Amino acid sequence: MGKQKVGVIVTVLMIIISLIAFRKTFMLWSMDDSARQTLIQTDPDEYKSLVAGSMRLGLDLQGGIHTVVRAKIENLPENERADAVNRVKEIIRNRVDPEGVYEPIIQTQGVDRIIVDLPGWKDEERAEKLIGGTARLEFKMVETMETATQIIRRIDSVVAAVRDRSGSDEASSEAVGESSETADKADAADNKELLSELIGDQADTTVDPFADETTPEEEKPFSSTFLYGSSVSRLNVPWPTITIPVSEKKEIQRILKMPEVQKVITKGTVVLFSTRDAVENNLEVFKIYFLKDEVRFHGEDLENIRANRDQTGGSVVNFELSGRAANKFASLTSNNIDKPFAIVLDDKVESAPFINGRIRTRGQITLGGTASAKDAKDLETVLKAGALPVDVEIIEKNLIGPTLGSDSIKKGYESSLWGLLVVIAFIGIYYRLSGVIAGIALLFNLFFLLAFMAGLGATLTMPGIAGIILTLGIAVDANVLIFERIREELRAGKNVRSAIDAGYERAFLAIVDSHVTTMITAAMLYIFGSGAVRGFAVTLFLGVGISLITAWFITRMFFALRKNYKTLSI
Amino acid sequence: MFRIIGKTDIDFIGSRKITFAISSVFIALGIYAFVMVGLNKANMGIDFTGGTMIQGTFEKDVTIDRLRSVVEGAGFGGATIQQLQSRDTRNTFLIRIKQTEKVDGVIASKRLQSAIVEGFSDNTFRKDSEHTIGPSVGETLRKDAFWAIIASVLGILFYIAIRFDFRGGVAATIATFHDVLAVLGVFYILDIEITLLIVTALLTIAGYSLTDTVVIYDRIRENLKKFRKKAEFVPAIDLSINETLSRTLITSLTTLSVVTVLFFFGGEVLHDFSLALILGVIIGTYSSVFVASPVIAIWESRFPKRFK
Repeated sequence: MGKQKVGVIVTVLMIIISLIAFRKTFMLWSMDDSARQTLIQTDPDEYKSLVAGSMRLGLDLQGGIHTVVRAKIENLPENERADAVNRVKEIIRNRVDPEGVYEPIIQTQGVDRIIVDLPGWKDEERAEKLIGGTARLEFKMVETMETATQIIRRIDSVVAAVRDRSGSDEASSEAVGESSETADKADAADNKELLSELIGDQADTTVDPFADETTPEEEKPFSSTFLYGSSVSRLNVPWPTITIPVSEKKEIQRILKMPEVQKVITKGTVVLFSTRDAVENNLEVFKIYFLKDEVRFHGEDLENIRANRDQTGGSVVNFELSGRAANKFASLTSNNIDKPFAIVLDDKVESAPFINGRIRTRGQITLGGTASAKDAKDLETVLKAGALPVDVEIIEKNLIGPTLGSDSIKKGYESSLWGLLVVIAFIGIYYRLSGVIAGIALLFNLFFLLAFMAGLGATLTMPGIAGIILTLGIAVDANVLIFERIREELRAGKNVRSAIDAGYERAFLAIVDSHVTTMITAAMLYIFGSGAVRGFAVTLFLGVGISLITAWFITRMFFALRKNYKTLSI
Repeated sequence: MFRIIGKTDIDFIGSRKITFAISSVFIALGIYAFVMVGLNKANMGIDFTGGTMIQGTFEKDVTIDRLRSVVEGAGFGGATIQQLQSRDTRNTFLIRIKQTEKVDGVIASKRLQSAIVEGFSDNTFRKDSEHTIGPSVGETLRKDAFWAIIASVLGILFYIAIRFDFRGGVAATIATFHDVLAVLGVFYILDIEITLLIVTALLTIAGYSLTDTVVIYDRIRENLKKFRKKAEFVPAIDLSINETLSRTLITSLTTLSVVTVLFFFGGEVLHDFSLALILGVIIGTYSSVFVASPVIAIWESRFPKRFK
């Protein structure tokens, strides 16, 4: 078989393979959103196969969120760790899937890491909640007002003491001596006031049981921020759910984190924040709750979880119970009628409703604050997917806005175009007709490269585009090696036919060597790299490999046609 | 026939005293930079140190000084702030914060964003992108980069050793290291951040530089068959470099032209990356001619044993 025939066969074959490789990408990309949704619903397997065989755009090009989470498995026994990580992965997948994200990538990496890629996602906060939320739902009883009051008193005095000790150089240094002297007296006075509040029947939510005109505000750095100190049951018993303006949130968080403060919070009691802020009387507020630490009921036993709206339009999540769980819940509720119990999700309080009666098979979680229908839906999703077996933490996050992505696509497109033009112009001028042939081969090269990437379902990233452009420069090398060799042979006095043959023959080893070295580097980058680096490695590897084929077969085919010429334009 | 250079007869090996001096400076600088990287004193990107990088655009005009004072006020004295020039707005900024012992990347990201929201309450800040690397991730990436470098070098050495001989492998590896170190050294002097992408560029340079070297070696081997006597080794090498010179230059020029295009059109992400490639192509071309081949020549003249 002649060299020419082989060239034609290889070229035709490559074109056919490329067209087949492009087919799925073309089908997928020509679909609009509604057509995609229809396909996802009617034939999910077909859709998956389309996606697997299509060119993906990396998050840096289409926008989206990439996170890496670490499962905190160090406290688990060795043999349970791998299983826990896999379960975390599956739970995250179940949480993300109902969102209808196109092609999320969720995979484990190393021992304890999970990569979650959400193309096209914009809402960072929700993504973090869906991915990183443990979704541990617990029911805890609210602490009594007395216990809470004692703790609040102690917090007030230690914070004041700490501030006086360390912060005296900063502000109001003149007031220090005076205030520390009055601290003890004030303490006593406060206690009396509080007790009367507690015993008295007027602990309405509009009354601040900690409001105390006799003590200066500086003496109560903690309780002076309270808007209301309690909520009141039907029997007029106050319970410690404390409302505070959002403007004080940072300060309260700081106070509660202080080691001195943590010491005075009695064992068995926890202080937790509300999940969301709320608006009350035109003021943004949040709540803190004093709860008994003991978990009375777990969220795992809930069934038929459904987001809904209650009569007042508030967001709720309904659930049902059966069997032993139902009995347990029934006894818990019947023993605590008129007491509030807090519904705690991942250590934040959704709400703390009063138990009005025995609940056995049907219950409702009221989402407090400014909860939206979406929040309720999210709670339904995470409760259905189940709690993560271990806590996770987000250790890496990449977020690319859609504008930046399309900007990058434009830049990548522009630079590819300019790169192609410059190279073709350069070799066209330098090698004349032969250069133009090499330029055509370069276009084939680009076409095959993109087709192979599409067929392999490779991801195109910005560094990947850089790899393509770099490949354009390097791909010419094979032709340059051949052309230079042919020129040498021509200069040595050979005729066109034997110059072409000798040129190809002698350049062969150099071409293989030069391409293989670059491919080794690209392979190493792929093996050890991740994300963007891999995108670069794939395009470089494929690009250089393909250029070997195009130079050897396609340009040779053109040269074979020119073998009978008297002179060669090179 | 249009030619950049005609038939040349340059005494490349003879000029080695000058070029070796230049190369020694490059290598010394590169080793210094490498040690600094090892000691964590170089300008390492957040990929390796951990930290956060946020790019965003303000709705209304903001001066870089005002932004800096807000960022510093939040406790990030070491932050790098860059005002990005673009067609649409002057108010796009890139803020980079490296992780410290107390504040990891994830926390820094949260704290920085709330500081900006608070500090510019009369303005809105739209986050265009965020890249946050928590503790332990940086370490993993550092390790991976290290192994990628080692594996590439070993792979290349192995390939050259079986294709040519051990000497060829060593000489080519020296030239390759020379290029990578030179670019690293220049980057160190220019105080450019060493990111994952820069390491990728350095490895690409290694592959590219080797390509150049290998083509010349191929020619040396071919020409050695013509020069039978041992004394003619150096002329054979010189002839080989001269014969392949136009190929070396043309390929370097095409590659150089595409990476230059990338430098100007590729945008912020690829800016330093393409700069590394530009330097790498230039230095790589220089080294295959002036480093790899002379090393073989010297080795051969001291310890004669035919290069294969």
